[in-house]
Amino acid sequence: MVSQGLTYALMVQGAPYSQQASHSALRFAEALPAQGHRVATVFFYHDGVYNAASMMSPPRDEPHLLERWRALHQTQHCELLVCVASAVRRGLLDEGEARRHGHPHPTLEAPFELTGLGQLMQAAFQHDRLITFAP
Amino acid sequence: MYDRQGSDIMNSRSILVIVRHPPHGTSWVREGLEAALVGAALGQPPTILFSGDGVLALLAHQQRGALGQKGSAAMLEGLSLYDIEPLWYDQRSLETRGMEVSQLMPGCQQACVADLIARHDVVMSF
Amino acid sequence: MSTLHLINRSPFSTSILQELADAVSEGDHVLLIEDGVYAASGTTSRVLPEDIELWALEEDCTSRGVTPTSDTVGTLGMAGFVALTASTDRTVSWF
Repeated sequence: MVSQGLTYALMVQGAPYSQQASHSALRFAEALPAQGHRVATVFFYHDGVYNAASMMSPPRDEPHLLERWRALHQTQHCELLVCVASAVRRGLLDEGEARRHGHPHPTLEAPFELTGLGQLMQAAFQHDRLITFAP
Repeated sequence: MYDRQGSDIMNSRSILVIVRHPPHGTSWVREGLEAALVGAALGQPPTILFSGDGVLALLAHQQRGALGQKGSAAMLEGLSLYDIEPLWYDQRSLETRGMEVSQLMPGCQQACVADLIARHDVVMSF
Repeated sequence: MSTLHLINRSPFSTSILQELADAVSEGDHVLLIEDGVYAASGTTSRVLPEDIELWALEEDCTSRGVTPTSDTVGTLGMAGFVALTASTDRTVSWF
């Protein structure tokens, strides 16, 4: 029997390297395709926005969470959406926001995208499941 | 309350926002309310439930916080303007914190939490 | 129609299990992950009603040296976690 694959939205609220939330979310997302499902949207909110810090530089013997998110984006073609209100407050700015706030360098890069909460709610409306990974 | 007519098919899924943390000390309450308000702006006002320490956000007579933090009380009082009402609360959480209904801001209503969860398609926790 | 409840906090630092006991419906599933697996051994999970299914995520038990009480708590791998989110109608995170 081939069951219909589901689309998932993940809301990640935990900061990388301080809490297990990012690891749990990644492990969960990576296990979806084996059962015919896929993650369509990852939305980073609260301290979860730090997962998108482009200068993230963990020790070499630790998982590189930013690289893992990028790999997930490539393999499952999911959006990596970062709440703009949470991110800009915490110093995570894409090129446009950096320019607007007078900073020389962006601290957030593609495939991560700054978006509003509307995208989170749309993901909740559109996808079959929403799973929250909290700190 | 639960069977809102969504004119947009995409927006036909009902959303429950559960707030389980106290106001002021962290940004959970504000962030949960902002998500709920955006849902309302998209034409699908979520149901909102306060449980655990979340019921503390419903206390009347709150003020602004340290360093000019806005707090969440004003936002809560304005939710009905966006068709987000009532403010559902878990009675057990109220009792275990020694609180009484008379201490809550206007617009609160006692919920059966298990029922509320079972009646919604999507649950978001803050 | 059923719900999957995810718990990732130690039962000794929060009163989530007591709160959850009132929030579950018959046939719901509760999955302990991360620090939530500390409720998988001992008696802390007894506050939950018996008509729910209680699970613990195996990899989080293993990393913490926790052995679930086998007659009341089932263990699941990540594939089992995924399957539970698909077979239930919604997932609620308690933290």
